[in-house]
Amino acid sequence: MVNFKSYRNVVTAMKIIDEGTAQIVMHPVRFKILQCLRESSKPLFIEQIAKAVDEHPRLVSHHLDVLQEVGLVDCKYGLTKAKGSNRGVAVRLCSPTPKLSEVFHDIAVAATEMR
Amino acid sequence: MVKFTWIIRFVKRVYLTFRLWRMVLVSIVILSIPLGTNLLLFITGTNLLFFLPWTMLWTLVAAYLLLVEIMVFGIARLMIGQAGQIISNFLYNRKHKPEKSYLPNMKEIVKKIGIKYDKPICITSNPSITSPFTNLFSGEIWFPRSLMKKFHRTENEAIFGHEVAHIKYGRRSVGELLAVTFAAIVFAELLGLFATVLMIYLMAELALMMLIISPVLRRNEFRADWEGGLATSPEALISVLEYFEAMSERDDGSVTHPPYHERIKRLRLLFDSDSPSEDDSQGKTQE
Repeated sequence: MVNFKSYRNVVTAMKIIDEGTAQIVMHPVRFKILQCLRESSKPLFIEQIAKAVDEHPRLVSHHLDVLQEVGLVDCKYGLTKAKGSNRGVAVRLCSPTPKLSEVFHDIAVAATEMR
Repeated sequence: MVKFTWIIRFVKRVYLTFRLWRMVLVSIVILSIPLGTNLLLFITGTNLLFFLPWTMLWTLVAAYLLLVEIMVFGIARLMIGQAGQIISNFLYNRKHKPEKSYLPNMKEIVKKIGIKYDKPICITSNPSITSPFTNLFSGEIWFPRSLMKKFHRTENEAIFGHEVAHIKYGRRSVGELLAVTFAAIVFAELLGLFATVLMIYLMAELALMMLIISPVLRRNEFRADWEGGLATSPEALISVLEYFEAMSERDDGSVTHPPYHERIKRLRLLFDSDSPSEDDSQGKTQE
C-alpha cells in the first residue's frame, strides 16, 4: 500500500492525470477516503467512511463534495437500515468512479517507476 | 501544584523562542556599535563624553537603554511579523505584477465577519511567499498562486475568511501588542536589576519579550481560525490545516502560529456547537 508521504512524491511526479485532479487528491484525508472507498466492495455512507478513516463525518462530507466535483467519487442517496430499527434511513452512498481506478493505477505505476 | 506538562510546555516555548537565533544575531550586530561605546564607558569608569555628574550620566544611560529596548523590540516584532513578507513582495512585484482576483463568495464572507472590505485578493508567484498572509498596513490579502491551485474553491474561501478575521481584529491586536510591549519593557527593567553583564541581559530580554508576546500572537491565530471557520466552513479550514500538517516535517508551531494539530482541535469544537457566541469562542480560544 502506498503511504501518504510517498504518494505525495508520486502524485507530484505523475503526468497522466490532469493537474487539477492531482492537486485536489494530494491531501492526507482525501487519500485515506479514496483508499477506503476503493478497498470496499460496496458503496459506503458517510458514517462508515468516517469510522474507517477516523475523521469527523462533517469533515468526510466536505472531502466527498470535493472529490465528487472532480469526478473521483460518485454519490447518490439510498436507503439503509439503522441499528436497532427496521425503518430505513436515507444516506449518501458513495462509490469510486472509473476515473479513481485510473488514478490509482497511475499512482501504482508511478510508484513502481520511482523505486 | 506545578504539573509536569506545564514544565514541558514551558521548555518547548523557550526552545521555540531560541530558534529565533538569527534574529538575536542580527540585533546584536545592529546594537554592537552603540553598546560598545557604552561598555567602554562602563569599563573605563570614566566620564569621558559629557563631563557630567555620575547621577546624571546614569539617568542618560537608563534612558538610552530604554530606547535601545524599544528599538530591539520593534526590530523583533517586525522580523517575526510581516516585514520579511512585505519586503520580499515589494522586491518581487517590481518585475512581476500580482494578479488581482475576487473569490466567488467574498462579499458574503466579509458580511458575515462584519467588516467593510472590498479589495481584491492579490495572487503572487513570488516563491518566498509560501502561505497566505494579510498586510495589516495596506489591508491587502495575499495568496501564493501555487497554494491557491492546490485547494478547492471552498478551502480558498476559508483561508480568505481567516485572513479577513485578522483584519477585523487588527486594531485590537495592535492595542494588545502595545500593552504587551509595555509589560515586556517593565519586565526587562526588572531583569536588568539582576543581570550584570549587558549582553546576557539583552539576550535574556529578547527571549523574555518573545515569551511574553508569543501567547498573544498565537491567540490571534486561534481567534482568526474561529471567526473564519464560522463565516465560511470549518470543514474547509480544517482541511487546509490538515494539508499543511501533513506537508510540514515537524508540527510544533512557531512564535506567531500554534501547531496545526492544536488549531484543528479547536476548530473541531465548531462541529459540536453550531452557533457559538463570540464570548464562547474567546473562552475556548484562551487557555
